[in-house]
Amino acid sequence: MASLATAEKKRRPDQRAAFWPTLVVLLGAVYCLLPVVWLVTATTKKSGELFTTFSLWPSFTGGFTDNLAKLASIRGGAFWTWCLNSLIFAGGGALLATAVSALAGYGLAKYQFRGKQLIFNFLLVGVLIPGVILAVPQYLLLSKVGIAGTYWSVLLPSIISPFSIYLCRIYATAVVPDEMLEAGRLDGAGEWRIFRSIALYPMIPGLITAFLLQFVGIWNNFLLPFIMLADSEKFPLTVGFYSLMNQGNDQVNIYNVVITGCLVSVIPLLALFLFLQRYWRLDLVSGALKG
Amino acid sequence: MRAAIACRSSASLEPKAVPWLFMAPAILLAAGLIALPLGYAAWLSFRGTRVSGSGLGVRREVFVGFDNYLNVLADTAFLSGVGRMLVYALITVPITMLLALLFALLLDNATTRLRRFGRIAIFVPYAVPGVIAALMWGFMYLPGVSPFTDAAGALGLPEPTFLGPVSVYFSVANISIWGSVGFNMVVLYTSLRGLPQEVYDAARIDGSSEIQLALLIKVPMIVPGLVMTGLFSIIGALQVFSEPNTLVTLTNTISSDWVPMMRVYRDAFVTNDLFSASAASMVITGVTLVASLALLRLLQRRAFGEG
Amino acid sequence: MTRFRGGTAARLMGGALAAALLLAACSSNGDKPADGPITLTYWSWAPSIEKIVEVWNKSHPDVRVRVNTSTGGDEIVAKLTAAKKAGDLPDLSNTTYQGLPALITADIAADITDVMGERKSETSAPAWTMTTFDGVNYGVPQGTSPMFLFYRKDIFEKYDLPVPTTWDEYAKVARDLRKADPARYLATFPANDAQLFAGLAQQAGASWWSVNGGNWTVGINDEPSRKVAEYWQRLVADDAVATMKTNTPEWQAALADGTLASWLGAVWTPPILATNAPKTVGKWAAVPLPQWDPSKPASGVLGGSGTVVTTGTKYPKEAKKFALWLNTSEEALNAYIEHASIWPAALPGRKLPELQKAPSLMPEQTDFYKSAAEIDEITVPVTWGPNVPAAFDSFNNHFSAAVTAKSGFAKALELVQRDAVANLKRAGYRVTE
Repeated sequence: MASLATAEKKRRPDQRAAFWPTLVVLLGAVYCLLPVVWLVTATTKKSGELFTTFSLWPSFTGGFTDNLAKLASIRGGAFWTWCLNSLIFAGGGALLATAVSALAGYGLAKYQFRGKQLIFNFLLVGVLIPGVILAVPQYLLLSKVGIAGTYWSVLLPSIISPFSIYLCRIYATAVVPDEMLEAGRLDGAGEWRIFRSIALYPMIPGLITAFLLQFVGIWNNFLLPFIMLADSEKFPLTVGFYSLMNQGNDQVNIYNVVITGCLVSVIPLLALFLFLQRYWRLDLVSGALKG
Repeated sequence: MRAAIACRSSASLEPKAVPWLFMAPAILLAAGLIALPLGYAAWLSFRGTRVSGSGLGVRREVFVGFDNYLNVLADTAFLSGVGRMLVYALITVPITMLLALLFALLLDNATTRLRRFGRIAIFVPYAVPGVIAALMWGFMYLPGVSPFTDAAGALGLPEPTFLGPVSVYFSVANISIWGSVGFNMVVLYTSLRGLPQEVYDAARIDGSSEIQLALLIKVPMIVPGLVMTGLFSIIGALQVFSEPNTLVTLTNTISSDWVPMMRVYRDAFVTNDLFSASAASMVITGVTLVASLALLRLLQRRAFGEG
Repeated sequence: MTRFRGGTAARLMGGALAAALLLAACSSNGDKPADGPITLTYWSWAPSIEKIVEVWNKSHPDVRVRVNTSTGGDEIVAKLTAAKKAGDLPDLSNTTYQGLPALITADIAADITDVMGERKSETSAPAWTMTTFDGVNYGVPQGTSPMFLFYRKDIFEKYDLPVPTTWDEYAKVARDLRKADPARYLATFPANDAQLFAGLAQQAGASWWSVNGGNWTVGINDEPSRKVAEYWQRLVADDAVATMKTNTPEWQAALADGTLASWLGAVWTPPILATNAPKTVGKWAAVPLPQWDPSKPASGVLGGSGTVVTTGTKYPKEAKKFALWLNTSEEALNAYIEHASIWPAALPGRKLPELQKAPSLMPEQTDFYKSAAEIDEITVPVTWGPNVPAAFDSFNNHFSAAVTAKSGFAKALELVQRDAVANLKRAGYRVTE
C-alpha cells in the first residue's frame, strides 16, 4: 500500500504527458465496453425490433420492461430457480474448492515428504486437461455411483481445482513463515491447530482470490452442468439459457429474453468483483510474490 | 530441492502421515474425478459397437483395438483442425499478451488519467461467460444485423466482412482476446504495483523517460508474471472451444470440426460416437501434455520458484 | 489486509461444511415409494410442454409425470444414448423422426405395438411410416410437418411475379426478382439445413436410407439428390438466391425486412414468422411446394416428432398410456394447440375447431390446414437411417465449405455420401454399397 502513496505523490499534472496514455486506455475501455453497450441496448428492444433497428441505439418502446417481465415469467419463473442454482453451484463449489485447496496447498508448501513432486506434477497435468475431455467420462462414472443428475454431480467435479491448489501453495509458501510453525510445534501444538491458528489467517487474501477465480469458473461453466443434469429444476443459468435458445428449428427463437437474461446474470458477477477487488491478490498467478 | 531438505533439521517433528492428511481430500477428489475419468476415456477409446440381431438390429459394445485411433489420425479433417487451432493460437496469444502488458504499464504510469475507470472497464469482459460473449460478438459480426455494417454503410465505407475465410480467424481470436486481456492485465498490473518504487526514482533522476522506465526496468522485473500468464494463454488457446462452437450456427465459414475440441464435442454430443470422441480426446490430451510439460520444464525454475 | 481475524476463516470453513450438508440433504429426492402414486420422467424440448403435462397430472393423481426440457431435438439421441450407457434413462422421451432409428438400434425405444398396432387408420400415413419398422411400432407420432412455400404477397405483387408451381418457375422468379430489385432475394440456400435439403431431395424421389434384412443402403448421392443439388448450385452460382444460414439473427432480420421474399417452410412456420416479424403479419401466403413434374405432385418431410417409451422404464403400461394420451387425446391436443403449435398426426385431432381457422400470420388463408392435410397425402414415404445426425453434420460442413469456396454442390454431396457410409460402417452396421 506504500507504493500507492508514492505513486500519488509522483503524479505530476503534465497535460501533454497524460494525453497519449489516457487515450490508449480509453480506447481499450471502449473496446471492452462496446459489446456490453450492445447487450444493454438489445435488452430495450421488442422481438420484432431486435434485428430490424440499429443495434447500438436503444429503443424506447417499452421493450425493456416487456423483456424483463417475460424473463421473470418464462417457464413458470424458471429464471429465478436457475439463478439460485448458479449461486449454489458457484458459491458452494467455490467455497468447498477453496477449503480443499487451502489444505492441499498448505500441505504442499509447508511439508517435505516423498512423492511431493509427483503430486505437484499430477496437479499440473490436471490444469492442462480440457473440461470437454473429462466431462463425458465423469458423467458416465458418476452415473454408475448414482449421483449423475443431482446437485453433487456438478459440485464434486467443481471442488477439485488443480489451479486453486497451485495458487494456495504459492501463497502459503510466501506468507506463512516456517519459524512460526516451528515455534508452534515447540509449544506442543498439534499440526491441525497450527494450521488453523497460525497458517490460515495470513493465507486469507490468497484464499479469497482462489475463491473468486473458482466462482467465476463455475458460474460461467456450461459443459459440465449441461452433461450432468437432465432436470431443468436443477439447471444453472448457462444451461437454462441454452435450453431456451435450442428448442429446435420449428420453434420461435426468444433471443430478446435470453439477451435480457444474460445482462441480468452478468450483473451479480460484476458486483461481486467490484466489491471484493481490494482483497484480490492476483499477483499470485504470476508466482512472484512479495509478502 | 535437495538443499531445502538438508536445511530442515527439524523435519523429524512432523509425523509422516500429516502432509497426506492435509492433502487427502484433494487427492481423493483428483483420483476419482480426474485420474479415473481419464482412464475410463482411455478404455472407451479402444471400444466400439457392432450390430447384431435381425431387423434393424441392436448395437453391442465390443473391443476394437486401435481402430478408433487409426480413424482419427487418418482423418484429414482432424489434422486441418489442428492446423486451424495453431493459426488461432498464433494470433490470440501474442495479441492478448501485448495488449495486457500495454494496458498494465499504462495503468501503472502515474501520468495516465482515468486509471480506475480504465482498469474496471477493461476487466469487465472477464465477468461475461464465454458462451454469452461469443453470442454477442457473433450478432455484431453478422452482415444483416451488425452495427458495424450499418455504420460503414452510413459513412459510405465498404462493408466489413468478419466471417470470410481469412477474417474468421481474427474474428474468433477477437472474442477470446476481448475476454482475457482484462484478467491478464490485472495480473501484470498487480505485479507492477508490487515492485519497489525507489528503483523508479533512481532511474528518473538518471534522466530516463517514462517509456524507457517501462521497457527497461518494469518489464524485466515482471518476467515471471509474463511467463505464467503467457503459459495459461497458450493452454487456453490450445483448448479453444466455446467461441467457435457458438459461431458455428451463425456462419458457413466454421465447420463442426473447426478445431480439435469441437470435433470431440461433435462426436460425443451430436453424432453420438463416444468412442471416436474418446480416441480424439486421448490424442489431444497426449499431445498437449507432452508439449506443455516440455515447456514447463524449460520454465519451471523461473516460474515456480522453489518447484 | 489486516481486517481479517482467524474467526473469519473458521466461519468460512464452517460455511463450506454447512453448505455441503445442506446440499447433501436436498440432493436425495430421487427415490419413489413402493406404494402410492408413481412418477414418470419425460424428456421433451417442446415449449410450454409443462402446461400440457399439467393437464394430465390434474386428472391422473396416481401417475404423475415430471417433464424435463433440457435437451434440444438435435442432441436428444446423444443424450439418451449416454443416459442408457449410464443406466439412467427417463421413462419416456420425445424424439425427432430422424432420430428414432438410432434409438431403436441403441435399444432405447421400446416396442409399443400392443397399443399402437391397431391405430394405423387413425394415424397420418407419413408419420406412421417413420415410426414403424418391420411391422413393429416404436413411437407414438405427435405431428407431421407438411411442407409449404411461404411467400410475401406484397412483394410478389409489386414486381408482378407469378407464384411458382414448378421448380423451373421458381428459378425464373428468383432471377427476375434479383433483376427487379437487387436488394432482395427470393430465398436463401441454407447450408446448415440438411433437413430442408433432404426434404427437397425426397420430393424429387431420393431415398437416402433404406434397410433390407439388416443391410443398410445409403443413397444420399442418388440421382434425384444430385439433380436437386445441381439445381441449387446453379441458383447459388448466379447469385439468384442468398446463402445465409437459417435460424440466425441475420436470417430473421432478412425475413422481417423483406430481403427474403419467401421461405420453404412447413406447417409450423406461421407462428415463427408472426413472432419474429410482427410487421409482416397479413402479407404472407402459403402454397404447396413447387413441383418437378406437376402431373405427379409430391412433397417431402421437414421435421416432426413423436414420443417413445424407453426400455429403461419400470412402468411400461403407464408410460404407454401417457404417450398415447399426450399425442392422441382431445384434451392433450387442445392444450397443445392452445400453448404451442402442432399439426397432429392423429387424424381425429385434425377436426379440432382451432385447426379449421386461418393462422394469425395469414388471416385470409382459411384453408391452410385443409391444404396441410392434402399435402400429407402426397408426401412420399421416408425411411431415416440410424446415423442421421452424422450425415446431417457432414452435410452442414461440406455444403458450408462449398458455399464459401464456391466449389460446387456435386462434390459436396459425394463427400456427404462417403462420410455417411463410413460412419455407418464404423458404428458396426452392415452396409451394402
